[in-house]
Amino acid sequence: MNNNVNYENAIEIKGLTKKYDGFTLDNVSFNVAKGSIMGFIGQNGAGKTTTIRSLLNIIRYDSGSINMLGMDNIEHEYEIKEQISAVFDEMPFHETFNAHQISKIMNSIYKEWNNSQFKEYLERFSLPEKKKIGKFSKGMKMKLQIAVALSHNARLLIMDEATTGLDPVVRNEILDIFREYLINESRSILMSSHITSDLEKISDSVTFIDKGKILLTGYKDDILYNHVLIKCSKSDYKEISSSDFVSARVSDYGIEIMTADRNLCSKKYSGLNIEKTTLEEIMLFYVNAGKKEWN
Amino acid sequence: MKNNNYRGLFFREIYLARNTFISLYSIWAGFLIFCILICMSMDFGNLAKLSEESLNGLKASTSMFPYSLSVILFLAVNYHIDVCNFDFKTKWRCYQYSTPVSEWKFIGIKFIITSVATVLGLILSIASAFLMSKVIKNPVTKKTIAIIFIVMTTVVLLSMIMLISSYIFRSTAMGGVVMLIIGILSYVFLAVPIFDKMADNSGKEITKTINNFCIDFMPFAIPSVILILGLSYIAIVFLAKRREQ
Repeated sequence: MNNNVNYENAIEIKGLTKKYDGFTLDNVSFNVAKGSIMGFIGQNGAGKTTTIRSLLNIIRYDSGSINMLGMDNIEHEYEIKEQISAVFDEMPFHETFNAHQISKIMNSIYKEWNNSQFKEYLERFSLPEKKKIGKFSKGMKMKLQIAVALSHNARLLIMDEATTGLDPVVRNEILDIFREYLINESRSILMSSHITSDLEKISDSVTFIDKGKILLTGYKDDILYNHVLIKCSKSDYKEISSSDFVSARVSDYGIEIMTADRNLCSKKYSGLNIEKTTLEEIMLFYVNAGKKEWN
Repeated sequence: MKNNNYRGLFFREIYLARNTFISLYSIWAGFLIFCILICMSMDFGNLAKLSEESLNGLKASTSMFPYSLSVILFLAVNYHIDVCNFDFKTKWRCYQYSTPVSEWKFIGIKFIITSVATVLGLILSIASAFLMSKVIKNPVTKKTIAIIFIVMTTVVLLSMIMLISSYIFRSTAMGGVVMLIIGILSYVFLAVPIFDKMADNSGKEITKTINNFCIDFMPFAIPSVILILGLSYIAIVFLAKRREQ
């Protein structure tokens, strides 16, 4: 097995294209740096799952290239899969199994399966070892999937909407686990979600996708620093050049404008009310960028 | 680093199919006891009091018992339909693609269990035929063994057609539809002409022809089953390797 750790990016996607009837994943490119967590943000149907399924070679893509852990994802498929973990939004294990039996099955699948580590996670998550999975709550099922994902020394975790549908307490608990997982700097996480607050808490970088196209990708702090929300009146709005902003939300109370260049706007529109923004706001303004003005 | 053993994956298959195995082998054991009791009753019980004509008819029926028993046993070969049904309905197939285990190994495990079920079915079928022969005091003939071999080949062939159809359509229900079509076609083009000929006074001739065919086919039964399983294995691996478009 190739245990090469001399790679810069855990995931490198270049020009990924996949055409469906009515939807195209269009020339998607982004990197997930080694030792980091990337939030992959987009609405339902934006192309997050298609991208993740392409990464895992669950679907065949039409063009582009994918490197994971420094290797081509198709040529070195099984080597890569030995070192990664995928967590899906739905439980893939049969409901009649219990956690103990899942461990037995995983021991056959992963060479580096660590049963004692798995038991530690079960204890930490308060998951009963002998109770049938079918009797678990949604949060418990997700914790079990995560316990499985973290118990074979995976160097890359790929999560597809894994925290969707969980209550905030469970989500926070899971985010804490991910922070611990990343203490080892050779590990990385790609986490797709439309719950931007989770990604804002934990991610180092974010990629926004909408209608199959990447809208924005980069370090979260840079994105949050550069993007600002200008709150102004309709008369002030007329003074702002449309090339200076992403889109504008028009309401009866005034206008909010998202710009991607804080420095420029601070100089040009110093008299206006400029506020910090959130990933959720950024996503909303980018999704509506085509309309330029929306409400 | 340890080498992968596949005990856990065997466990998964058998655990998911345990109800199928338990019910089939229980039905077989129950039916075997029922058959033995009927045969014993014809000699020592209430059935011995039947008229000679009725008794002869009943004896003719008892000659079919070993074949009915073997059909039950070989149906265990079909266990994988239950497991596939689960795999298609849940995200297991998706999860499976994210693991380092190849389709050759995942499907190989299914086929090892299928092969074991086939061999076990053959051994138990022959054993039950000998047990029945002791009870009815008739020796096991070459014809009896030959028909058991034909039953084995037919059930394995049909089971594999159903499995392949299920993989082609990614639905076990569609596999069932294919089997239904095969059943109807077999009835129309195979069973009906045989029944017609039997009604046509050439019944003995037809029976003789079928028996001869079974005896002639016997040496080819095991190689045929191996070939069917081998080709089906390759076909299903390639079907499982198909990715969503």
